[in-house]
Amino acid sequence: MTGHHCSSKTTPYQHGAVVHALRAAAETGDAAVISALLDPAVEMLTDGGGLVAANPHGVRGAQAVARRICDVLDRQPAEISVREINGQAGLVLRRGGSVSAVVCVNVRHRRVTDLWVVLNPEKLRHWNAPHD
Amino acid sequence: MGGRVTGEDIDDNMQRTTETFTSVRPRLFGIAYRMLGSVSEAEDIVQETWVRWQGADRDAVENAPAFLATITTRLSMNLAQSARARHETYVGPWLPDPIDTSANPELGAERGEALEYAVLLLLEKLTPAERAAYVLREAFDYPYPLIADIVQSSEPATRKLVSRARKHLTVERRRPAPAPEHRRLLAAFLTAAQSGDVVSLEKLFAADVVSYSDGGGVKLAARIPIIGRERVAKFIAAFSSHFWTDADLRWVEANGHPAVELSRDGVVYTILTMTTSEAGIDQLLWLMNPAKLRPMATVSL
Repeated sequence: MTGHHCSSKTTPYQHGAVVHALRAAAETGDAAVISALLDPAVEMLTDGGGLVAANPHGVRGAQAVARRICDVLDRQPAEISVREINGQAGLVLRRGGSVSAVVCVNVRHRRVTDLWVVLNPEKLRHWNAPHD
Repeated sequence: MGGRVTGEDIDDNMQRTTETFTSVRPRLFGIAYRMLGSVSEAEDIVQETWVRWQGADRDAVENAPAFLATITTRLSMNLAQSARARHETYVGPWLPDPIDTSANPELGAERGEALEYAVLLLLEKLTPAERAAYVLREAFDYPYPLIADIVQSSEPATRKLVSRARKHLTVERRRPAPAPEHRRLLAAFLTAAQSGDVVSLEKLFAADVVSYSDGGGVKLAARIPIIGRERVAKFIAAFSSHFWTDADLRWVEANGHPAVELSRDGVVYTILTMTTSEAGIDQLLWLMNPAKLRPMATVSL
């Protein structure tokens, strides 16, 4: 077997480092800087749930994904922060004070291999609920 | 004294009932969320577990936490079965609800296993029983005899469920097949299935292919998923004749992928979708309740 656990080769520290770098890269708005952090075969899947426009087939490849990230942030600027999501570092995007997107990533060999972007407001409801 | 039930006793009893439930509530949510990837569904299941706990003969329950975990797990397995069909017809990719684990110490408090987003996505591809067995074992360290009891299976079979799930999760995630390859596999499948050609079917399948039905129809009578190249091929070949007879096949789109709608005398009776990767056909899903489905667009070929 040549297979390995989807995350066993990446320590939480390495994972966190890549996510922090991705946040910084996204803020530069420079696709070349972003794509340097992405695996050549990176895949970005977006869940809009039919409520928010999202490419139903996902986006593949470092350049295409980096360009898409820049386009989206250019059109809809957001405040990006790193947060522990499902036990691992991920990105939270806020616009006008509320969470507009949550991004989970998979990292392998210090490159981002997957971005999972949740835009569906129903799936973000608990992110925007007031804490009691 | 003896035998008289006072208001105080009732209060006491109610308080114990509530305390027992509250103490395991985070674990119940943890089980349901991992199995379903949905916060609202997990909350509903925890709520339903509470209702059933109140109605249960609690004096007869020896191990309340195990009893409650059993209810939650079985409810989650049922919902996971129908959720599969819903996800297949979801607009665009379906992803689990992400959870802010820094703000939900409840979830991480016990064990963080099987919580990672990538793992949840892989769990979603397993059968409900595999998911349940894996989650109870890996995330909550339940003993096999108890897991077997919860998923209503034998202990050896339960060990197999867990090992199969582990294997799935340790093999590197397969890349989905590109669209033309997906279409080719679907077309080749239709040809082989209609002629009942077992050998050709086997060639199209990944070794661990799974065939699911949403259970809406009686003819396919396969609510229980069928797993494995040979078994699925034999199963498909076995219903080759009557199932496809006089069927009109129409290519449609489901979840961004080509799918096939089967109708007879103008009445749609099945929609077939599949997931594919470089390994071949990974999953077949037979939606037998097309009336419940969103209308699908015809794909122009």
